[in-house]
Amino acid sequence: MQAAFFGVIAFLSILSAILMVMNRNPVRSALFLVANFALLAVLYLTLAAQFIAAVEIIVYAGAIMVLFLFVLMLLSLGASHALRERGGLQPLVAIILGLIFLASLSAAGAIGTLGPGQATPQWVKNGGTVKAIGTALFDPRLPWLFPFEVTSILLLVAVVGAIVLAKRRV
Amino acid sequence: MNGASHIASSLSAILPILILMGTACVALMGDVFIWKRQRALTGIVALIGSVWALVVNLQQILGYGSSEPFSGSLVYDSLSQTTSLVLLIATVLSVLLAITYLRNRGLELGEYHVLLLFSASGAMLMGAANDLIMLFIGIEVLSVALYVLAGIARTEERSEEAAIKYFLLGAFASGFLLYGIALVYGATGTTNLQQINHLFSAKASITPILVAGIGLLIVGLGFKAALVPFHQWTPDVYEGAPTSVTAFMAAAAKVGAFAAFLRIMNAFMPVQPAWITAIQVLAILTMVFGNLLAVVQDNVKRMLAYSSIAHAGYVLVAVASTGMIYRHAVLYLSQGDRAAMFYLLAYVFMTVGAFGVLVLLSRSGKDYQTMNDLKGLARTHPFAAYTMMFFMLSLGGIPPTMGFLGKWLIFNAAISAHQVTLAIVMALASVVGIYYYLRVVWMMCFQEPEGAPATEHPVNDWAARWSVIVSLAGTLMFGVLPALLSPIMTGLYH
Repeated sequence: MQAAFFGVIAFLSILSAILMVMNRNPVRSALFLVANFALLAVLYLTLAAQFIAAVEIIVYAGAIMVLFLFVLMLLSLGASHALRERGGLQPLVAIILGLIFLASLSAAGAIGTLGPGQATPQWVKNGGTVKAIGTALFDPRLPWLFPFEVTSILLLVAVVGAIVLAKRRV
Repeated sequence: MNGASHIASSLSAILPILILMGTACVALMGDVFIWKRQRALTGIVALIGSVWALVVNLQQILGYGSSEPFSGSLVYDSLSQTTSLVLLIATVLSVLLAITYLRNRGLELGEYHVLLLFSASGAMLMGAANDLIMLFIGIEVLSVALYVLAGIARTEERSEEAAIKYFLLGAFASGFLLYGIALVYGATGTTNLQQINHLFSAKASITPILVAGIGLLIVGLGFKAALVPFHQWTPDVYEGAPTSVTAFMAAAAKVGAFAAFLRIMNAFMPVQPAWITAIQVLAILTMVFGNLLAVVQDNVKRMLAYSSIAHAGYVLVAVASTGMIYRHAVLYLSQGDRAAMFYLLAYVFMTVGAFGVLVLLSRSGKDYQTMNDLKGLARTHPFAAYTMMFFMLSLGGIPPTMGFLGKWLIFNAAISAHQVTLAIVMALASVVGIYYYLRVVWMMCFQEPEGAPATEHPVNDWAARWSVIVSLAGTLMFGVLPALLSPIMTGLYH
């Protein structure tokens, strides 16, 4: 049951990713990306990561997709001819390189050898909730408090940088 | 230990980083709200802050303490303290260069210094990271600030191109790094480097997934440290970015990346067979191609970019000869680590110094960039020419400079770690290096200047001048009297 569910969701998410890349119409690509995000969120849910699933929907499918669509509208790339590839070689090379990467990863055993998870019912119930993640982030006895605080510096740098690069006058 | 006192002691351990971050915030606020029209003040504030952090860092080093702040997300030992020292020296020198360069090029943006200080604090976090997550956040703080700095001359196309190129490849490298971290977590069940070390010390089991993880970590860090074959972005970005940014980028990004290399490789020391070949091959490729490609460059900034790639190869030899030991939770630096830190300090002095001379020569609208620009410099700008000569000799590894001593230490470390092939390649590559460094000296001292000497109105360039003088003093003083560094390098000659 579980494996079958995973199989269906995994198949659909890969399918939507492929459709997103193959589609010539950028708006449709963006919509397939939304579908992909939603399916990924379902996968997170099956891993008992409720918080990450919610964040995936809110941040990626919500905020970031709106940005994408804004850019598409502003550039008015709606017409399908605008995105036609010039050289036919690039996708071919990309596919070959992708297959080589996949083959080397599976040869290295990175695919399919992760053993069964050690999740207990207790962990599944509490593991991925907002409360559990909040406690883990802010508990000074755990090592995550400091990295979490430093991400605020990272965001500050990004904001200052964006303003510096976007400001009109030097 | 209760929570509050633990946090207090943690904060005091990372005081230099906090001072840098705090100064950056004060400079940002002051620049926007208080001294709006006195942009030069921001540079002075940044200078004071970074010197203060340097002094505190020296006190910590001489106090010989070691701790694990924030419940093991960071580790403060001799390696991280020395990394911080090297980075803070690079920061002070770069702030001085920037003060002059920004004024000469009419680019006076207070945000420049703010981003520079944040970037340096990110690199210091990389050196102190005890956890792969912490390491990743450190890298991102370092890199995001550098992407913006590379493009800070927004009116210039080349600066924009450099920023975009650096950003795209940097994001790509971060992807590799994250995938590597995920696979290592899958193989070990932890992201804490010390726990990984203990785990493998107890039972050194090399699984394919671990090899894939370490490989991806090496690729990700290889991009940041500009190792061949992950170096393609380096010449374009170094050439396109404003010269003062290039100086800082060449120093800080490389020191941070190598500190991370030392940390990670030492954590994976018990499973050395899984990664040593990769490091050896990368080191040989980097030394050979870095030096060979530098020979054919006609642009000084590109030449220095390839030379920085070559120097990354030398430091990688030291990484291959590393072997730190944790004994009773105290870190003992091996000969390879000490050689790497010494060389990185030498590299900071010589590279920031060499770019500093280019900054000194830059006037509004004109950068000194090609070999032809340097012709006859000894006659037109004797101070710049003769300081540049010493930096070139040091980069080439000619005694009595720090560059020579650093190479010698790495060579020794490689021999005693039985990396004989690497030591031989290193010696041969250095010989090629001497050719193109001496070509610069030849152009400056034994060629006639081209064209009529431009009438230059004198500019106030005390800051860059001091930066170059300090770099030169460091290069020569520690080349002649390396014992001065021994309390800092924790027993260089044990």
